[in-house]
Amino acid sequence: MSNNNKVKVDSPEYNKKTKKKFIIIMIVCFAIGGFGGYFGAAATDLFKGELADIGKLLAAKLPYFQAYVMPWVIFTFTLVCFVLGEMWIKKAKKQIASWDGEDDEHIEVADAYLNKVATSSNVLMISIQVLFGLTTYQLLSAFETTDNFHMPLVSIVIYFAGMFISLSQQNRTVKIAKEYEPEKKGSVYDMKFQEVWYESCDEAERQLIGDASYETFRFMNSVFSTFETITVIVGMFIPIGFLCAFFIGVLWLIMTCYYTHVCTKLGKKK
Amino acid sequence: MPLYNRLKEYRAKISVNQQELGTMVGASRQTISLIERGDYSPSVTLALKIAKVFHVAVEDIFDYVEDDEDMGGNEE
Repeated sequence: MSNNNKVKVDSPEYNKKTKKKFIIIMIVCFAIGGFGGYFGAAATDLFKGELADIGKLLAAKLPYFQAYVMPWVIFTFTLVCFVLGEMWIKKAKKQIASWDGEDDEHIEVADAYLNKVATSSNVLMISIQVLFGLTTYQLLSAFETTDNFHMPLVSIVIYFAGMFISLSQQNRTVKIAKEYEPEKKGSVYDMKFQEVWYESCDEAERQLIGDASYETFRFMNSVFSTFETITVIVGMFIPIGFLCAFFIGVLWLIMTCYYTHVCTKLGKKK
Repeated sequence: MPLYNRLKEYRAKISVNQQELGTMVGASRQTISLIERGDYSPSVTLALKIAKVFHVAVEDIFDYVEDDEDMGGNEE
C-alpha cells in the first residue's frame, strides 16, 4: 500500500538525504558561530569598560545580597512551595475520599495532584540547595569583612526547614498513593526508596518509567549540549571562569557513559 | 496494533474489582484499568495469568485485530 511510497528510515536513500540535511545544518551553525564570534568579540572590546564596571558592582554588592536578600528569597520560595503542596495534598485526599473503588476519574485527578506535590517538593529541595549555595558563596571571606553573620545563619535555618517540608510532603504523597495502590512499597526516609518503589511496580508502570527515562535522557542531551556551547562561547568574551563549561561537560559525559554502560549491562542480563 | 479485550466482562462474571484482580495476577489496579481501556497491551506472562484466573484461554479474553499498516508490512 502506501509503504512503497515512503522512504524507509533504514534505507541508503534515507541516510543520504539526512546526511545532506545534516551538512547544511552544520554549515549554517558554523556561519552563525563565525559571525556571532566576530561580533561578540567586537562588542566585548567596545563595552570592555562597562563590563568591568558591572563585574565590580556585582562583586561589591554580593555580600549585601547574600546577607539581606537571599534569606527572604529562600523563605518566600519555601513558603510558596509549602502552601501549594498543602493545597494539592488536600485536594488529592478529597478525590480519594470520593472514590468508589472502581471508577478511574477520581484516581486520575488525585494522581495529577500528587504528581504536582511530588514536583513542587523536588523543585523545593533542589532549588533551596542552589539558593543556599548562592547565599553561602565565599561565606568565610564575607565573615572576615563583616560582623553581620546572623542573616546567613537565618538562611541556614530556613534551608533546613525547607528540606524538612519537602521530605514531609513527599512522605505524605507516598502515604496517600498507597491508599489506592496498596501494592506499592517504600519509605521516603529510606536511602533505597527509589529502588524499593521500582521493585514494587508492575510491568506497565516499569514501561512508563522506562519511556520517561529515555525521553529525559534525550532531552538532557540537548540541554547539556546547549549549555556547554553557551558557556564556552560566553567564556571567550566574559570572564565567567572555566569551571562552568568544565562541570557541564563532566556531567554530560557521566550521563552518556553511564547510560551506555547500563544498556550494555541490561542487554547481557539474561 | 490494537489489542481488544473482554476483561471487564469476565471480571464482572466473577464479581471482582480491578484492585482484587490486580492482586490475583500481580499487577496494579492502574494496569488492569489501562488494559481494559485498551491503553496497554499486557505481556504474554500477564495475559496468561489473567486467563488462568478466569479458567479460559488467552484468546477468549484478548483479540488481536490486524490493521492496514500491519497487513502492508506482512505482505512484504
